[in-house]
Amino acid sequence: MKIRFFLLLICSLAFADEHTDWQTQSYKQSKHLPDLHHAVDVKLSDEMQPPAEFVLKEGRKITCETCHGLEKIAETAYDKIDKNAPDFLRKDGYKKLEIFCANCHAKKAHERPNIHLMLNDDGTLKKANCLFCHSEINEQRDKKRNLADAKLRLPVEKVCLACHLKTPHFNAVEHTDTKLAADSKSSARNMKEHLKTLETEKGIRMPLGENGAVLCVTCHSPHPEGVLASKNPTGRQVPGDAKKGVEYEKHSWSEVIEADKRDRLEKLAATLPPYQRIKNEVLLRLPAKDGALCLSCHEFEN
Amino acid sequence: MIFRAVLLIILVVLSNLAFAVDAKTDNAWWEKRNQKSDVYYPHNAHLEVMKEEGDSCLLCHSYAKTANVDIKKLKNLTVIANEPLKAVCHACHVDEQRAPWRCDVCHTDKERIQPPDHRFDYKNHHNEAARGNEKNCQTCHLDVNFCTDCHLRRDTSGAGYHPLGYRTLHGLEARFDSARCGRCHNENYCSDCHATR
Repeated sequence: MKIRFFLLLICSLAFADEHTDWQTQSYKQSKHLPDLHHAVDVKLSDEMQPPAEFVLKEGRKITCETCHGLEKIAETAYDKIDKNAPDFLRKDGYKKLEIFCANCHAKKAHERPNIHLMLNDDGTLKKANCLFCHSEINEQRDKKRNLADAKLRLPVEKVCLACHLKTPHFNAVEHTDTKLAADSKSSARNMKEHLKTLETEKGIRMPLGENGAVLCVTCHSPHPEGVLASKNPTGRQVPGDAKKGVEYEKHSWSEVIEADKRDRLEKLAATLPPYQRIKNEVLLRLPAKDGALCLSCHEFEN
Repeated sequence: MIFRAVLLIILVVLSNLAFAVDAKTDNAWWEKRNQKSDVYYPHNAHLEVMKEEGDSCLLCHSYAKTANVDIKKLKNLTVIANEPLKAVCHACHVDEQRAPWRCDVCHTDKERIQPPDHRFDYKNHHNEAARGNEKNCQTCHLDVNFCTDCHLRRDTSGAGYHPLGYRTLHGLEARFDSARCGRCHNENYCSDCHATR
């Protein structure tokens, strides 16, 4: 750990000047925009009608002040800008960024389709949805296939990240950073054994990646029920309505858990989402609601 | 620029090597969970109860959605999200007493949870504190038997506090310092035997 820290420190020092040059200057001086920032000085089309607060420059052009409410933000050095100020983005921008964007952009037109809904009403495949992830369509839906034969457009450990965050839920990174390699410790070997037993005895496959890497698809089934035949171990999953998605319900434990975490969260100046019990679970290979999914790998002495 | 690019490549390679060393020497995160702390937590025993109540691993180990993309911050938060402490355990074991509520069921080393003033002969010096705020005692001593086992007891012989045979030998000590007897025994305790003779 120390070695890593040391190497990263050297690395950051070597590149420090490049990172800080533009940050100590204003946009007017550097003409540099932060990564993933919206373009400025572009002319809006006539169809786009932003709210009155979003002031445009002459010729319907966007400036920094169009979206940001801070005074003279374009003349303020980036490292002096208060990003936590309430008016940093107009109209409560950071509360939900896609709502902020929808102030100008048509939300419906930019919504991504749910490609996990892969079946038409008559049970046939929505082939276009398959081709988001696969370069070829698998017509033999009852045949067990290895990940290597899935003809994915991206490596299996990355394909979900094309749409989803690497951190979609708590404990996701902790799992996907884990490799149950064959030469690892006995607990990891036990986990691999459990997964093998699950497949041979119960006909449920929880696939691992290279070196036993835990993947998103180890626990989540990207295909809804019925896309792969149920006798296909890769197709076995929790029954549920994929259209509804995951549903949660409020639960009285929420208050207890909030009290339990309060002091520690205050020290971190952070918050955690309230505890909610799962009501409807979908696209999971085993139910998480009763712990069966976790117990497919984890075992306890007592 | 070329120098920097070469430096970056070397550092990335070395960093990965260092990570491989880390991975071999450090316990994996799920193994750390099995390391015993001061609290004994039998997962298997809880699994059954949780299942009956409609909860599962997810009650204590959160898999809630998050939009936090800063992995370092998220890892710190995940530690908190994964680790239930007193309030969660005590909800069943103390507040509602739906679960076994003896402290030593979970706290195997009572000295870790004892208040500091309990360390020095507190058994003989708890009078003032107990009379002052009985509720305070009851935060841990949930069963009233904890008090009455001594304060209303009649069977002193061989019960641990007095030496064996003390019933026949207590006369001198009782006459010498009867107030000391009164710390534990009420006056009925004496008169039940002495008044009938």
